[in-house]
Amino acid sequence: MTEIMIRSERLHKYYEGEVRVHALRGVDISIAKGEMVAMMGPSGCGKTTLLNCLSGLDDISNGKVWIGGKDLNSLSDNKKTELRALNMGFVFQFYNLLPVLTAVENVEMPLLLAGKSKYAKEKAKKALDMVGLSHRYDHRPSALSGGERQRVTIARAIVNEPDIIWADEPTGDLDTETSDMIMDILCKLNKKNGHTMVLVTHEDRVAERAERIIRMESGLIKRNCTKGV
Amino acid sequence: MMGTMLLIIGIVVAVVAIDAMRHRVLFKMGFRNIFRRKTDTIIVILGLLVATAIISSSFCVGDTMDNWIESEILGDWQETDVTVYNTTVQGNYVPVNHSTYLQLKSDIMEVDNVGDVVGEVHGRVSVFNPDSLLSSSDTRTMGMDLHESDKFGDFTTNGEPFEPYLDDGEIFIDTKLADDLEVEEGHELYIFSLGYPQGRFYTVRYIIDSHGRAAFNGPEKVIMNLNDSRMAFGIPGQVNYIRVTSVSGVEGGLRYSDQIFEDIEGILEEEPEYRVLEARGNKNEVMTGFKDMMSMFTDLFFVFGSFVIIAAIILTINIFVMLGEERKSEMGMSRAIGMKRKHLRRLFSYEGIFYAGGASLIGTFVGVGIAYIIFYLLEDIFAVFGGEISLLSFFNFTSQSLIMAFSAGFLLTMVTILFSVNRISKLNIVRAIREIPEPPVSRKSKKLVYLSVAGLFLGLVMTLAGMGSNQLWLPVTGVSLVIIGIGTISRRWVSDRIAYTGVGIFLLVWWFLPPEVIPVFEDYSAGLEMFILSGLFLVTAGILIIMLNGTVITGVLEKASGSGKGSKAVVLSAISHPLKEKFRTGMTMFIFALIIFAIIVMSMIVGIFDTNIDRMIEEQSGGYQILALTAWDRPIDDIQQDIMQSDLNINDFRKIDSASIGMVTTISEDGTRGMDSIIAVDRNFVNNNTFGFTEYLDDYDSVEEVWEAVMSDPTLMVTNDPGDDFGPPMPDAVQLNSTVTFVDGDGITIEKRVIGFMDQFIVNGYFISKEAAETDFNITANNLFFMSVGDQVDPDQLGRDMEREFIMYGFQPIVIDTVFREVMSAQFMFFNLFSGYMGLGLVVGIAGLGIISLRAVHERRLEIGMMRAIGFKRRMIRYVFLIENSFVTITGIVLGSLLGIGVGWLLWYDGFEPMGWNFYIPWTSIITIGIIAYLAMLLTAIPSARKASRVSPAEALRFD
Repeated sequence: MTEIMIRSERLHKYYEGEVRVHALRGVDISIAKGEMVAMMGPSGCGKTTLLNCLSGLDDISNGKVWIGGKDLNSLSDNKKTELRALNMGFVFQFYNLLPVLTAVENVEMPLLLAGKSKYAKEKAKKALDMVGLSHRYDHRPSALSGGERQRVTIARAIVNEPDIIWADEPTGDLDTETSDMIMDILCKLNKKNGHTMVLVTHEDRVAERAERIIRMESGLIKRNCTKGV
Repeated sequence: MMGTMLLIIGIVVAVVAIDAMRHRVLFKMGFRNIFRRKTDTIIVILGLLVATAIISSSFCVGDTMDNWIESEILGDWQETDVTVYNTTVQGNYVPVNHSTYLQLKSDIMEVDNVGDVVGEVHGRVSVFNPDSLLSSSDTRTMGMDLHESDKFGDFTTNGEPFEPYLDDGEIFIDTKLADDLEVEEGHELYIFSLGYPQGRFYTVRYIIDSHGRAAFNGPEKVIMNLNDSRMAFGIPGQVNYIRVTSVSGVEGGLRYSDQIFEDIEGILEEEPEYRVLEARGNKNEVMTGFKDMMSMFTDLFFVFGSFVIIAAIILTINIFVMLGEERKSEMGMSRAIGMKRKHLRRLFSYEGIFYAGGASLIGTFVGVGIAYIIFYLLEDIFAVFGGEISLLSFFNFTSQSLIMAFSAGFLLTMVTILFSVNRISKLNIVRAIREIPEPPVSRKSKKLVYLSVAGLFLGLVMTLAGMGSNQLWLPVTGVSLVIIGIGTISRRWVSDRIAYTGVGIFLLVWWFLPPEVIPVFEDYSAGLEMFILSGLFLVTAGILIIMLNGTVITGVLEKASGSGKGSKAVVLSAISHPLKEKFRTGMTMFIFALIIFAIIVMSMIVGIFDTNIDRMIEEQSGGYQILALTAWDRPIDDIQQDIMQSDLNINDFRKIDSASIGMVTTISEDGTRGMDSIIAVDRNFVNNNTFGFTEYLDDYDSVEEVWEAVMSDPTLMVTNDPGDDFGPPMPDAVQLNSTVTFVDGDGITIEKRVIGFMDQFIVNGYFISKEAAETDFNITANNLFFMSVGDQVDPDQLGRDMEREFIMYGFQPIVIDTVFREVMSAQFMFFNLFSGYMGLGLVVGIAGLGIISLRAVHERRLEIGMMRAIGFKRRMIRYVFLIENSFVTITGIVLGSLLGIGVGWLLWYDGFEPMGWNFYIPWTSIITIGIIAYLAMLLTAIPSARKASRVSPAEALRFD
């Protein structure tokens, strides 16, 4: 039987404000361990919101989310943070690296947070080597190209050997060639290390690299297509 | 001055207003920016108002001092505008016959603007109340014809005027004297005077207010009728004091007193019998003299306040640079769609003028509040001197001062804003839109090279000009600029780190060089400006070294952070930010370091004095514990015999040396005359005293030989060291081996040579032998006594007993230890007050840090979101922000403290070490100051740290 890594039931998310926005309208989803899933849909359909809620970055308004069998609702903010630090890696569209730290320092950060400071630098360098940045250890983000920054972000996401990697528009800010290179790396990591990967993207070309594509509309999953099915 | 400033403000506002009319959209944008983030606007205004507040408080201090002086002088002088009298070398008033006075009065009445003239008898008496057994040994007495003097004001009791009348044997006393001696109307007082050395009873007819006619020369006074006073001072048929009033009343007299004074001087020269008198007092001159003297006090507030003003200027730059960085993206976008650089400058200038106007207006009134607090605290300091001066009751500020403070603050803020705006407007459009940091200034930047060469050139010019000017600040600043210029130019060949670390090190070495290393500067004059300059350059040096060597600090802190879960991540994130934002961090650190530096230097001075106070007292006392003076006209011929005949115990005294003090006219090289003290001493004093000498002629091998020479040669003398900062101002800065010209009672000039400088400032004057004093100046009376008491004797109690026993002599004992400690305690309080005043700079630093950390939360929202996403817990984010602020604050505090201790050491090495004083570092004060500054910082840092920790990662990342 396939082990479920990520699961949600009747997941709702409201944004309160001058106008109340019902961003997720009862999403049910299951993602198996080691699966690579792409979430697609038009702007404002709730892709990023779903990613944030599933990853514990954002609180949910209603429903349930389980990560590796743990109910996120039952976890305190600190526990959720620990869960992210130990079990998850993140890749964002705008890289979101700490501008004041070098590439290697950025990558070693999750290890330091997890209390694995021993050999942190070596592991960070290894992660950078894996994404082909062995020549950029001591460069600050401002001295790197867009593709290189995203590779640093991927290195940071994998350095802790997490179970899940969340990627929100990982290629959104990149040209086609670089975008392909990033996806190659992510796919390779998925195959080689067995990371569960959830990608949010609006590019078909990127989504097609995933095993399953979830299409969303107005805060609901409209289609759930598995490759080859 | 005020007109010029208002004109400049008018021009600035008019130019901006006209410009705004032509660029309404920009004006609208600038104006709306003010209300974008109201909390930020409040913080910006709070930060900007500090400079104005300091300027305003300094003006307010000046106004209050002026008000006090005017009230005091006008209150004392009342209707009197000019006084005519003379004193003998022993200090007694010279009397003239009544007929001579009447002739002189009629001549003076001819002078323009003279309202009236009155002849009186003035002197000092000792008063004893047999009922309360209380006494006053030195009480001013005025004897007057109550009808002749009626144009000099009313007599009042409890505020009510009355028709004055005094029979023989009756007196008025003022409320102050009555309170001191617990006297009521109708009581009898026993008064000792020259005419009645054994004393005489007088009945108190009225207790009067120190007001009107009775107010002259201040409170604590006895008033007699003319006849009684003549008898009391042994000058029947004579007067010894003439007062002149103008036609213009109390305040109006200030207009005429100079003219009347000069005309009377002319009249006194006309008749030989007038020549014994001199025109001595001039209300306007006294007022001006006092105001000049007190302006030094006001200036001190300006000098110490300048540290805060510098800090406030830096804060203003920081605030605007931050505003610029915050809006960088939108400015880039604005530039992209066609806005020119000058438009950006306009945008900020429009916004800035509102900030400057608002901040200066509020700052002006905050300054008034600060000044009020200063005077409130000064009450305690003046209490040390008897608690009779309540400056708070004279608290005052003029509209002129408020306008001046507002104008100065507004212009200062505007100039700083314009400077900052110029920097902000220079942005690369693409980098600004994408919020990519600006690259460092190119090594080959021609502009930087030109600036460096200009700095180098200016430094050289200042150094050369300074070498000829005798002003230390010029060459010292010049060399500092040369160091900075060379360092900046050297960036072309070496890294920034090497260039600026080198600048920092060389500046530190230059400013900490002990004076003897460069003997050429030893005789240069240096004032408080050196304090400010040393602070500026030393702190700059320290900041350069720290900011350019950030990797070392990061490494050390990273190692020190241990291996706790996440602690390295927190420390690394916290420290990297401030070290990357070098300008912003450096500026904030500068504010903290500069203010702490100034406060620590003050603490060091207080600490060194405090530690050495016993040594100082020992040196100053010359081996004596009590110093005493008698009334000028009632000397004690043989004090030992008097003691034995009194209730005092002669065995309480270890030694008693009698001396004479007299006032003698001296003539300076340019012919101007002054009055100086002659202290006539005998062999007992010479043998007993242990006063040291700072310097004496090489002709003598020891202090004993110097004294021997003074005793045996009437043309030789010793005096106080004119180079002693604590000592009295010496005429024409008397030199060793120089000759001083005196004039004796007959107008004959006598020259005496200075052969040594005494290391004391307790008794000031020219020390000569008793024989020389008698021969040359007819100074013979024993009216100054140096006393040493037994180990078991309380000198304070003995002093009080002597004052009571010898009241007939007007005996005034001074217990050296007590008085010295009181004076030093008051000085320490002044130092502490100035430290507190400078402590306002910490408010600037804390406000600056508050603004930066608050802005940092906005700026780094996305980053915080990402940090939270990858595993930073809320408390870790809080720690990141707190550690970041703590790093800036603690580094500033430590740097300022170290530099302050360094300068304190230099001051000690240069000034106190040669005197054998111990060096002392007041660690308790330093640590307390540091902790207070740090805790105050936490107050502003905690809210922003909490705000940062509450940033929702999803929100932050979603809204990027």
